[in-house]
Amino acid sequence: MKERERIVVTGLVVLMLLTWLGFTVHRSPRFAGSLWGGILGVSGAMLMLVPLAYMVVKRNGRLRNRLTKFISMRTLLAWHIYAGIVGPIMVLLHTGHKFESPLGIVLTAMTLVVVLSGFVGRYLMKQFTTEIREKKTTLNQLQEIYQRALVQLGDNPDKAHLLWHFSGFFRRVAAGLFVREVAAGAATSPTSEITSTATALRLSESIADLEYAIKTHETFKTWFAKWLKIHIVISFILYALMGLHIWAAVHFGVRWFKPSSFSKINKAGYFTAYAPIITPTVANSIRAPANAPDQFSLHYGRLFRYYWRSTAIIHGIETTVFDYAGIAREVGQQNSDYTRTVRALEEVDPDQLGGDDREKAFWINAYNFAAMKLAAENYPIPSIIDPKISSDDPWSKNAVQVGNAWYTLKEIENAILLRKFNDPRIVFAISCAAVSCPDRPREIFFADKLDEQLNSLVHGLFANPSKGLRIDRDRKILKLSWILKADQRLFEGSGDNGVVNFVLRYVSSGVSGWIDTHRSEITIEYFEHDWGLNDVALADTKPETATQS
Amino acid sequence: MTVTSKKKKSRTWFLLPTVAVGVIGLWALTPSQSSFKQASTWQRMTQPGTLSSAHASLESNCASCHTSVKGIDSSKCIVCHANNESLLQRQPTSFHANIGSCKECHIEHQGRAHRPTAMDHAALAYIGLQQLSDGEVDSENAALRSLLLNRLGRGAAPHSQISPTEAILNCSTCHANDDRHFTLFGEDCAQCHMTIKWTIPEFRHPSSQSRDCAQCHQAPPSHYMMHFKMISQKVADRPHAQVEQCNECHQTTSWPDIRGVGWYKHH
Repeated sequence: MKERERIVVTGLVVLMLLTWLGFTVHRSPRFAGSLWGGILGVSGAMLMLVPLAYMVVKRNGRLRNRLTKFISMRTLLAWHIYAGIVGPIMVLLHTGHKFESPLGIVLTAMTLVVVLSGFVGRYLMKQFTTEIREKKTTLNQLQEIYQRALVQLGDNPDKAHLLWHFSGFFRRVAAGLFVREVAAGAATSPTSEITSTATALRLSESIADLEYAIKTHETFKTWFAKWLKIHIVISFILYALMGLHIWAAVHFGVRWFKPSSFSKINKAGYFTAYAPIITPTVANSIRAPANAPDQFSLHYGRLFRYYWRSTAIIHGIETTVFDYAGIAREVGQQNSDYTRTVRALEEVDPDQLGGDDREKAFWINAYNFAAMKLAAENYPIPSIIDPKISSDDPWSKNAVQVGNAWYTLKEIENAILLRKFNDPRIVFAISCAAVSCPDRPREIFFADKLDEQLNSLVHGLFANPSKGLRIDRDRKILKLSWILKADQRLFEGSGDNGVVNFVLRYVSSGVSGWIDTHRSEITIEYFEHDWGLNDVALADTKPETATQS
Repeated sequence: MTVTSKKKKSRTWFLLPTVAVGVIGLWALTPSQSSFKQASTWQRMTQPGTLSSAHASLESNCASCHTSVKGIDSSKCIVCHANNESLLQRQPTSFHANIGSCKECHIEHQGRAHRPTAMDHAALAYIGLQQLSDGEVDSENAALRSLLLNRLGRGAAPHSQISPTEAILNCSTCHANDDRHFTLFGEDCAQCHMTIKWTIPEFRHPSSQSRDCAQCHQAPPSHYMMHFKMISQKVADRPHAQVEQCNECHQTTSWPDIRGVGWYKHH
């Protein structure tokens, strides 16, 4: 078990020593900062913190007592060793693709040194200790034999006399050459009777060798005795460097961590001066959806938002406006949102719209685009009822092609929208691009929130005293939008009564309370419908903010 | 035994404050204008490579591009690089007007000689997708985004030289002016072309014996004027050649290589 651990750990250390050379095989200056590089770096660094646990537990008696009930120190040490090698390997995989910054280089070198110091202390030191122990036992045995030999030599003075010649350094060196021949084969084992002088000589030589080896090993041992301290000190230097590295990474910005700076830039409007000329926006360069109704709402939505302007006053009426001149410039231009909207509509199959809110939203948008198209194609015009569009009735003029067929505004309104969907709010949502039509927020209609959009649209109209609803409390007059009068038939109940019932649902409690209390006395009047085009160019006052996407 | 360990402990407790005091003392004694005390010296320790020559002057001022924690802030790039009219008015580069994201393509710290501009179509697609989700919460954008992501997930690309990410881009928004086929092959360049170069190595011109040149090639305007009768036909000595019969006079080497005449360029 222990032997296996040693082999595994040695293998890992060798792997680590090779890992930092990775840049010779794969060079990538940006890998360390990439997502995968980051994952490697962060998890490696976390593993490198694990060895701290062993150090703390070992030195804190109370903690040690409490913890060893659950985990033995041996297990903690194993964690220390494995985390302390696998962590650096991951970190080297994170960094080994290039070496550029001084901090990075020092950090890598320090990681290698710390792991090596740990490895040397744990395995090589142990090796020294066991070797010294083994050598010392051999030395003891040899010394015993040597003593016996001395005694025997003392009993045989003639043999001792033989040795006499070899006192002195050079003679001593040469002794092995001469004495061996005399006593060849005499001493086959140290336990046999020692009669030869050569054995005595050889014994003394071995003893000297062993003593020297033990001394060297012990010098190493004392030198390494301080290894633990060194290991701890350099580890802390490593941790400090690692802290600096992490600080630098966070301070200078981690690449895969993205705060949404983009939207801020757009709000700052750095490039809006160029935006009108340059139509290919980045989002534009993304392919359009394959499905034609989606494509229609994509391009129409973009067109709508782009040329929408906030509230302005035209002929004394407060209204949201559009930049029709801008839309007119897109007419006939290849790849403009306008042209793409027209093209998308031609691709739509009216029989495949689904019949639900999707179809309702589609036709409302189609109606509004058709009105916008009539205005844009004939721009400049003061209103949609201008003879330039149609001498008698713009609603009966073919306005837009959906699929293979051309539709007039009237057809979309009566034959499709009002016939299929029994919803009086539709007449507010479809707009003839006129000043007196309800104000639009900066979005087209969407199936998934259509109900909500229609409600807020009607609410908005009745909150506008210049065209939607105005109360004259003294004369008890309730003045309402002309649309309510024109489409009276759609509201439940007969005549004004049905209209008022409808209005009550969409006004604030103050207004509805007043209407309720004075219902029998009030006179209902209607605003005169202003057919003027809701064009920003016709505004008495410019809109406050001309936001552009 | 206990005495020695106590001694050792006291020595450690003495050593630590000494080192700390030493470091602080050293810091205090260094004159404040020495490079040791400049933030830039320390910051340079972490520099992952030199800046390109155009940005070399910013070398020691990290904060001119980096914002703490946020990293590279595009607004800092724009401080210098706004209103580059020639860039914004060219069709292929006008997408810079509202991209609002610089670091994806303009990668720095790659050495002095490196010019940090590289067209990365995948990055453009990525930024575009990002913008579809970053902008207003429009369901049309969200719908388009999910549609594109779905397409990406299927790994749909017209051929192996185009990545699915690149394939979601609409080539013609930027490259309509590059179209030598006059939209006859549609607007989706990626059906045949790749993003790293326009030429298609796999393309082999039909046989030089082919007579159907006019199916792909269009003659220059001069061929539809008197020039054709007065010069072209005479030079090639083909008085009855029709404009559509390119092969009568031209060869596949190049247009001015006139059959039987050699290299002939009139203007």
